[in-house]
Amino acid sequence: MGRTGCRMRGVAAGVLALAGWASPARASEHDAAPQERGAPIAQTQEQSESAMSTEPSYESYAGDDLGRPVRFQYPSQWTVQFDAGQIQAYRQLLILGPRNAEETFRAQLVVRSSPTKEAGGRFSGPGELIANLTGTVPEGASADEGSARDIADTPARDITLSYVIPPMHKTGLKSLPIPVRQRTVVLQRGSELVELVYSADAREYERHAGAFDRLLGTLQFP
Amino acid sequence: MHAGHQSKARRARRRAQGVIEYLALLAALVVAAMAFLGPFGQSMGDVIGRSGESIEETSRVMEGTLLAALSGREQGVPPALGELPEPLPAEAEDDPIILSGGPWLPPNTGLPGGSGLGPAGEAGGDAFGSGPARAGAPSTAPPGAGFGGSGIAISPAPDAAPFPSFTFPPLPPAPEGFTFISRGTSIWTGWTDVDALNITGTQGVALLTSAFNLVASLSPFNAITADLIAKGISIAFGTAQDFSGPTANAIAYFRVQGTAAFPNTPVPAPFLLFNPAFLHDSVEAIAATLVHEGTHFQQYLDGQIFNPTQTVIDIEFRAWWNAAVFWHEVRAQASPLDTRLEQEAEFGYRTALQGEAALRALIASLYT
Repeated sequence: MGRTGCRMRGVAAGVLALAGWASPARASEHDAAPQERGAPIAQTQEQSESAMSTEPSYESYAGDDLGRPVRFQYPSQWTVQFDAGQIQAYRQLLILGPRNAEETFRAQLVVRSSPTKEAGGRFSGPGELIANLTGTVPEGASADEGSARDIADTPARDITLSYVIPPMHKTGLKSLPIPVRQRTVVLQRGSELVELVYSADAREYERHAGAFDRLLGTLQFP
Repeated sequence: MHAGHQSKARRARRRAQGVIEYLALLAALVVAAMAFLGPFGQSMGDVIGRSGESIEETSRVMEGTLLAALSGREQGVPPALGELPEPLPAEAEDDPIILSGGPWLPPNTGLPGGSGLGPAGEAGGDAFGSGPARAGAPSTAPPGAGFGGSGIAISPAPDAAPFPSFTFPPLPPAPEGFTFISRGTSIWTGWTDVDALNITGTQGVALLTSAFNLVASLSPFNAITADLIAKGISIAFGTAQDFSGPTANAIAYFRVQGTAAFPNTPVPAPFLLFNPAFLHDSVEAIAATLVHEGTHFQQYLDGQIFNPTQTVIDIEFRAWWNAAVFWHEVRAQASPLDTRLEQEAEFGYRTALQGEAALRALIASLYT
């Protein structure tokens, strides 16, 4: 078998590697329009049905709770709560989603506005805000900072943190560790810092990630 | 003659090997074609008269056969170095979070696999320890490959700079305004002060006394202990039976028993009860809990907990905030932060350092 076997193995492995590379790529294309093309492969069909059943409907928020007009879309089943600082200067909209399977943590979107340091706030810009955020996450956290990008036509910084909330021993809370993934996008508009946050149980993060994408993609400061 | 036979036999063997080689190559090409065209499923099935499922099944069987042949392990032949293809890069390895398929363990915590979770799901002691160095490992994700960042109407800035790794900065100093929230005017105008320290019970009295004295020694937190003394509020470790249902794993609770006599002395009076499961935690952590529950007592005094406009976020925020401000004062002497309550207090403290907004958002996710 010597060289012939070696050649056979090499050729076959290469072909299999090509197949492995090509298959998911084609599946992704297929997922874009499962109904039009039909979905005869069971796994693909399940994924399509799952995607259809969990796709939320969205509604628009348009208001000036943050001290200036703002618009964005959020899942219509989620609830919006306004909150303003009593100690520190900020205004935020807490958009609360479903609780996780363990009933320990509610998925959440946040749209937060605070003044820059020059305008009486805490941080001079997105860099300082992110440094404070990453300096205070629990020990053992990990972080991924994405490339700078534009949100609502404004350059923004984008960081995702993964950490664990230790078991809380408080009345009404289950004392279980909660793995959390939190994505924060920060942008500055004049003397205002805008934080856009999505946090969820890390095990269920992808379930609602699209809602945050939708918020980012529809955010406007008219 | 003998040599001629041998030569013929060698040629025949080579021809046979050649046929086998081409058959194997053909099979591999068929597998690749099926995998490549699989998502087109039905049309492919129509062409070759098979359903998508059977295509997939066939592919699986063939892949298994070929992989078994490739490995050579079934024949006891170890694969020689360089004969096997390089393993394909595993995309999942870029992600430090295990989303499914086994118990979740925090990344980079040093928590040994499969251990550290007690019967009640409580964390192992060292999972959130407080070593001086940040344990976060640099990300191995490619630049711009943040989680969930695809498919949105955003565009990279022209000067987009990649962040191939991340270094955590040190814990920032407490900001301006990171101060104790004092209570308002008492609404219990007819409740006469008794001025008595009322730590009771048969267990943990020394621990409670030390914690109480620690709070009492620090201004402005001593406003809480002053109120507890003034009203003679009972503070004790309860029994395991006292902690069940919603309080099952709580370190302590402030229990309101009656308000019928308002604004005069409530009968029976409210009290603070601690969970005996934490009899061996640190004085500092018990003291931080006393500040948290004592703040709820102060909310009882100034009427915040009776105000229908106050949400659970409002009520809990004040208690978490005051405990965090207190923890800022004592965490150094509590170090290393290796008990359950110390880790909990440290987490609340760090979130409070992020800001009032972040702490209120956390409470919303935990309590609502």
